[in-house]
Amino acid sequence: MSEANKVGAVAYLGTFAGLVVLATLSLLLSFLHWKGGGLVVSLAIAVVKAVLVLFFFMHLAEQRFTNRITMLVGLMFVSLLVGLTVADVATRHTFPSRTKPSPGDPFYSR
Amino acid sequence: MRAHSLGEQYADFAQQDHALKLGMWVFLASELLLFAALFALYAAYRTMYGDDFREAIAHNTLAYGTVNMYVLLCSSFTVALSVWAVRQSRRVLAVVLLLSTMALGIAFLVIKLLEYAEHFRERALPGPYFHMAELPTFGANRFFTMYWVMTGVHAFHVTGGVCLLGWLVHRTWSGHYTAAHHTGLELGTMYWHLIDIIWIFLWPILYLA
Amino acid sequence: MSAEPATEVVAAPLPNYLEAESGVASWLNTRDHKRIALLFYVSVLSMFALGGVFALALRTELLTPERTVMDAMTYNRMFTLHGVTMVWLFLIPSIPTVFGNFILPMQLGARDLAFPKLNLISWYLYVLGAIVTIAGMFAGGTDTGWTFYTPYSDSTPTRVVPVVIGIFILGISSIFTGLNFIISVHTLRARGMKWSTMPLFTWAIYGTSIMLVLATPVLGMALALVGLDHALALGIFDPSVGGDPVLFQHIFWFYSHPAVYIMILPAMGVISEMVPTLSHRRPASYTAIVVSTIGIAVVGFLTWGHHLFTAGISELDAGFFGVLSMFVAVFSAIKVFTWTLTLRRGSILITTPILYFFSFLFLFVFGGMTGVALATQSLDIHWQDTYFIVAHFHFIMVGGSVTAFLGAAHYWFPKMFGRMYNERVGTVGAIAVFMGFCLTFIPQFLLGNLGMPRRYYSYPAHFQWLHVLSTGGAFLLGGALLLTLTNLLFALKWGPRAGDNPWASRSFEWLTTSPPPKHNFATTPRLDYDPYDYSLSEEECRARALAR
Repeated sequence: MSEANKVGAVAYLGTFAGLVVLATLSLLLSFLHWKGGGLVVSLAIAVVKAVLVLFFFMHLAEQRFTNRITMLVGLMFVSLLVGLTVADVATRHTFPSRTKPSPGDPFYSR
Repeated sequence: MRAHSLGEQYADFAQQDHALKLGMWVFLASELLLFAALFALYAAYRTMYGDDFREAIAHNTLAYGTVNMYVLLCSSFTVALSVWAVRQSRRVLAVVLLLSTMALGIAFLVIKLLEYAEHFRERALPGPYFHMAELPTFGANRFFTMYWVMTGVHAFHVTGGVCLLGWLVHRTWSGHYTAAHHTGLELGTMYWHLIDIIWIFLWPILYLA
Repeated sequence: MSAEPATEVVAAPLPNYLEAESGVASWLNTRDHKRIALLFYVSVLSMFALGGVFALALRTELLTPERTVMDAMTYNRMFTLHGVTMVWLFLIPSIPTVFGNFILPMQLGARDLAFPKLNLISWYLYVLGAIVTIAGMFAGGTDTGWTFYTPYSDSTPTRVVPVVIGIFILGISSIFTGLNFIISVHTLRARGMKWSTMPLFTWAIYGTSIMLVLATPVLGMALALVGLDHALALGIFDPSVGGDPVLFQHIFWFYSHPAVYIMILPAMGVISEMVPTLSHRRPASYTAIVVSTIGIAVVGFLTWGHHLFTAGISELDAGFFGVLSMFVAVFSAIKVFTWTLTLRRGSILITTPILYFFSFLFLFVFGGMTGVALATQSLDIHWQDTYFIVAHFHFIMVGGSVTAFLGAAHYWFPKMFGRMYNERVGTVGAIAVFMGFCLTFIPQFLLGNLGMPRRYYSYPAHFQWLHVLSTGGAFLLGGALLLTLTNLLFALKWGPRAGDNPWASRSFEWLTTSPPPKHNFATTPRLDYDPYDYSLSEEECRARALAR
């Protein structure tokens, strides 16, 4: 017997409404072209949206702690890979990367 | 209506259900890690090329991406409701909701294809195929390369998800899922929600400058 | 103890899992974790043999400084195929799919794994992956090394795509196996069993499975990107269009470093079972081993950058990875001390498995210490891409993992087949394997330190004598392994019948008959006691577990 139907249709509707509002908010904020902060805010909003989908659409709110840990651990390892790779690129003291191809480069080769 | 079978190794259905659900969560965690490599590459190139990379985002097809965001959010809603419908023993409604989800998924793919066609016209293509005269920078090249790879892998998963939904439609229609036993349906919808979650992160990083 | 009426005993002995059903179909369509373990056994041993053939081929080529038996391109293919076969077709699956599959459910007191059908699918995916990879080898193979570094892997004219597709499929098989074990440990523990009384081999497989599930997808993506780049020239890592080849290395080693812990952790799990049983003592500290197991599984993910020390990563990143690479060795050291202390005041049964433990102890510690030395970036600059590295990882993978695999093959042989191997031949085999191994790889430490680069087809003449020693050792090792295999195969049919518990172990898999019946236990056991409590007699344990 799966868990009782605690999440009624209204809860699904509410979650959906929340997702739409957040997406629209993110879209409107992007028109401000806020350098630096824009990415952080849009990712933060994305996290909230993901949490809504996980907890209400996917019923993580009603399930046990072990199930929730899987997503937390997954997220931690994603952050680890992204974090240390970016840390390398961000802290190299090599010559600044070229930003444009030079005339002789095979940039437009195909 | 077929009887639901209890595996030899389980004492009762509750234990089997717990195992199936936890198994699906673990599988979804592995899918997250599949995309992690792509997020790492994206983040590294964005760090390396900063402004040029961001300028290329501003040149991306915002309308297509945004419509697709709403399409997937709707599809998550309909597929979640299909589980609710089965819990109410409303089989026909569940099938209608699943078919709607499939339609939204297919709509996503169609819009994606139209978008790719637009990129082809503009020559906003990966690696050595890139020819956008207004963005002759490595940063722009890196952005569009990552854009194609990330949305391509995601679209591949959406296609798989649509096929999975088709299977769920068949099972629901044939009455396989009951109010008491519908774990298979829940597992399938969990996969669909993951596809939505991936796009929830792809959309801001690929479209919102 | 007075004779009791046989009310709690089953009416008739159940047929064992080998006899329960017959016919090829009953094997190819089985859900029984023990039969699936044997299917994997045959498969991984075949792949071990194949990888061994590649090794002997390349060691033969290295007998002389210039061309001996093959040209340079073929040589490059040989070492690539040796690496690909040994890592993905043999070592990664080896202990988990054979002994994990066979023993873990019994150690949990379960009738099978959580998902028996998925287990069978894992085997079929393994076979499919193997076929695709080998087909790629026959179509010419690839010459990139098992590490597929860009930009060469994007542009080499060799058959990269089928090989990476094959490895990708193998990866999916691994993920399903790991998933199955994780869910089994979480949901199928017998009544009374807590996490703190779970057998140590089960803990090791659990830690390994977490790594399998989290790391393998990243490999899948890394290789998929190489395949895409090779087939479609997308330029993901191409510097001429702004790409960075070192990024491939980051993604590749994010998996491949935990992969080496995936290879060693199950081996450590085997040791953790063999040592208490064969010395009739509880482990010196159960908690130390469990904490170290989890420590290795987690911290192993934080060390991948030490493979990139000379690739041009930032000093900040390199510093972080160097420190953590040393830190992770602490957990291995804790385990080594715990095992050794366990022997103290034990009554050690000198038999083939314990010889493999002694071999493991020496070789793993030696290899591990060279690993800590390599974690020092300033030293690694001298040793990177030389034979020093080759020797280091073979000490761990062969001296560690393969040695433990051989130990397990002997230790659990009576459990799996109900027969005993020939002890004298087993002893000769174990000693010969150890000596062959040392002769093969100690010269390689010297070669590397003297500057001989790895993956080089030709070399200066003054290195030849060390190469000749190493090749001699390789053939000796090959012969010793063949002898060991022959001994075990012979015992399958003609070995004397072993009892249900010839080692008088208290670990839970020995509660059932040897070989076990199809669903392991006639009645579901109650496993609320410590599997390493040698103060309890065997009869007491059995009564406690199997009483209703």
